[in-house]
This record gives sequence, C-alpha cells and structure tokens, in this order.
Amino acid sequence: MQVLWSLFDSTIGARQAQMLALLLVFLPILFFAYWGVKRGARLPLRPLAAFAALRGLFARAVETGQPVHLSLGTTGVGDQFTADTVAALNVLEYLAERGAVSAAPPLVTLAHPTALPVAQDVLRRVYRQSGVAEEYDPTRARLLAPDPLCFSTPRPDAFPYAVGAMRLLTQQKLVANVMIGRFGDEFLLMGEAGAQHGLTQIGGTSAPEVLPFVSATMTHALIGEEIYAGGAYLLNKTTHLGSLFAQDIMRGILVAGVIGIVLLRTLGLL
Amino acid sequence: MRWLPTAIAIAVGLITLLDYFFDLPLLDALGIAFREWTIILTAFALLLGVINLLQVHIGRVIRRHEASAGYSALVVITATIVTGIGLWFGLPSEPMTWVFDNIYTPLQSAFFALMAFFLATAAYRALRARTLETTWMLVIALIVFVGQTPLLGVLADVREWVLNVPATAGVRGILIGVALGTMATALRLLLGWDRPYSE
Repeated sequence: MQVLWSLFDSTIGARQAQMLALLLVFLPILFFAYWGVKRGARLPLRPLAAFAALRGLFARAVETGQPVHLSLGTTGVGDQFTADTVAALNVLEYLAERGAVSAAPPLVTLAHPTALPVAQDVLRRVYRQSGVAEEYDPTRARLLAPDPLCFSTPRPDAFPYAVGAMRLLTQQKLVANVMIGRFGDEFLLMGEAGAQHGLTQIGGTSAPEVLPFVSATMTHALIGEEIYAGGAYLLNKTTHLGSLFAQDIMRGILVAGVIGIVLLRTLGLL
Repeated sequence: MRWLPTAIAIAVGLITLLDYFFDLPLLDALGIAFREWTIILTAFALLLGVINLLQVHIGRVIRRHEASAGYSALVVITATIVTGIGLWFGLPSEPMTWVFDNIYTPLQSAFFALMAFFLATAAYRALRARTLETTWMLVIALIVFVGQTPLLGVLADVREWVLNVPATAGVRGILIGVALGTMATALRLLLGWDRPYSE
C-alpha cells in the first residue's frame, strides 16, 4: 500500500488529483445523460432569448439579402480557450446551414489563425451536405489581422482585429452582428460600434470581466456558460443535449457540496 | 478511412490530458512533442491566414468600385512593405522594432484611449432606468461609483460589501458554469462526439 501511495504521490500532483477526481465524477454522469437523451428522454430547455432571436434572423437576411456577421472571438483552437471557439463554431454551423439553403451566407471574422481553417471547413462541409458545394466561398471566413505573436500567447493582440471588425460593422450592410467566443476589452469597441449603427446584436463570452460590456452593448446577451449551449438549442444535437443535462446534474452536486461544507464549517464539524 | 482523423484526434487529446495529470517521462516527451507540433501547425495556419487576407483585399482592389478599395490597397501595400522588411532584415531587427515602436504601438494606444468614450456611451445606454432590472443596476452602479469618492463615508462600506459579497458570488457562479461547460465541450471532443475537423 505504501509503495502504491508513493508511486501515486510521485506521478500526480495534488491539483491534478483534484481535477482527475472531478473528471472521473463527471464522466459517468455525462454517459448517463447522453444515454438518457438517446433513449428519448426530452428535457425542457429554459428559453434563451439570444438563441430564439438567432433563429429569427434568417427571414430578415433572406428578405434584405444582407448577411449576418459572426465573430468567432479572439482565440483559436489548441489552447485553453478552445471550448469557447468550439462554442462559436456550433453557432457558425447553424448560421451556415440556414445560409446555404437561403442564399444568405454568414460573414465570419476571426482573430486567431488556427480558427480560420476550421471555420472554412465548417462552411465547406455544410455547403456540401446541403448539395450546394459550388456556392461555397472560402473568403466568407476572414482572418482580419494576423498577429505575429500568436505562437506565444493564446489570446493574440486583438487591436488590429477590433479595428477591422469595427470598420466592417459600420461600412457593410448587415442584418445583425453575432459575437460569440472569448473576448477581452475589445468587445466593448466592437459591440458599441454595432450598437451605435443600430444593428441587432447577439453576443456572449465566458470571460466574467467582459460580461458588463456584453450586457451594455448587446440586444440579446449570453452570459458565461450559455454560449456552450448553442449546439443543444440551435442544432438539437443529442450529444449537446446530453452534456447540457450532465452539466446541470454536476452543478447540482457541486452546489450541494458547497452548501454541505459551509454547514459543516458553521457547526464546527470540519 | 473516415475514422482516421477522429482516431488521431482522440489519441492526441488523451495523451495530452494524461500528460497534464501524470508526471511520467514517456508522457512528458510526447506532450512536449505535441506542443511543438502545435506551434508548427499554427505557423502554417498563419500563412493560410495571410493568404486569406490578401485574397480578400486584392479581390476588392481588382473590383475597384467597392467603397473600401482604397483602404484595401493600403492594407496590401503595408503588408508587402512590412513583410519585405522582415524578410530582408530578419526578426528581431532594428527596422522592425522601429516599425512596431513608432507606428504600431502609438496607433494601438490611441485606439484603446477611445475606450473611455465608448464606455461612457455604453454605460449611458445600459443604465437608463427602463425596467426594474436596469433600475436596480443603476442604483448599485451609483452606490459603487459614489462609494469610490470620499464624499459619503458610509457608502464606502456598502461599496465594499457589494463588491465582496454579491459581485464575487455572482462571478464564482459564472466561473463554475464556465468550467463545467468547458469540461463538457472538451469531453465531447475527446470522445469523438463532436468532430469539427471531419465530415
């Protein structure tokens, strides 16, 4: 036992052990939730105005012939903010699906070069699956300003991107501005440019320090984790519905744990 | 062969995850190798990005009638000059440092100085008391704002309480949600349920 413990102690740190424990608790819940949804369990999704508004955009896009602008945020894939980019890519998939059948393709902008091939691939795949492969235009996804320091930092310098996006929001005729992903202070600059231009704006980020800017500038805001729910709300994917259910269960466990620990500490039992 | 990209993605993801959890020489070596590959792939992605940028702007210059064709021409000329300086003098070099210190950095500072004005207009729009929610937000914002000044000492304590208790509790709630969302997204990718990289 002693040998096993020393091996365990030398190969895994305390922080890593906590993370692993959390993961091992979450994994079976995720499988259970996925299995439940796959077997037909339908869980009520609370209404989110931002996703409902996103669904309503396309009638206007087709009517006016103007595109929806989607910003994928300032991060790419392969760093600690990959989940935020993936959340934005789910929204892109939905917008591209609708765009492919309605001849109103979205205009996608991004700041990190690693997100560009993935975004172009999502567009290409959706167009091919919709039977309109010849309509696919790779320049509908645009890297506005490559940052030479993107190798060393997960969030590139967003200044050139913000300048480019602000110009696009004020000069190009757009139906709406959608900004989902990881952003910094530049969110305010772009969001405010869109708001002053009278655009319908839908946006969200997982960065708590940016949420006041989201709330102040967006017509419909997505707060924190809500950005990850796009796949469930818009695409109705089984895996996304399952993981949403699993997140709710896990949150319940964590809240119960926090309350339990507070009570035990208050009573002097811990 | 459609399973191959998924298999590679799952294998690489699992090895990187295990490398984070466990301190084992083999995993460490693989983890370092994967991180180096990421840098190489990012370099290729950057190259694709530059091609994409030039494709968009050169197209606009060729079409001429577009309103922003002049700006696009400026982007192409600037990109060519800076690339030329980088290729000729190398990185880092005195001319490149000059370009960054005397053109890029002052422009960046001037642009971010606009934040104050944007903040004022955004705050005005957000804090107009139209609903109960925005009225409540306005009251709290005023307490925090006035509490910052030495005019009303009692509000300084209220401000501290607002920042330390409800604001911190809210932020922690959001962070827990974000952590769970990130974990769920990562597991969907690791298990191959989400495949943004293949058909």
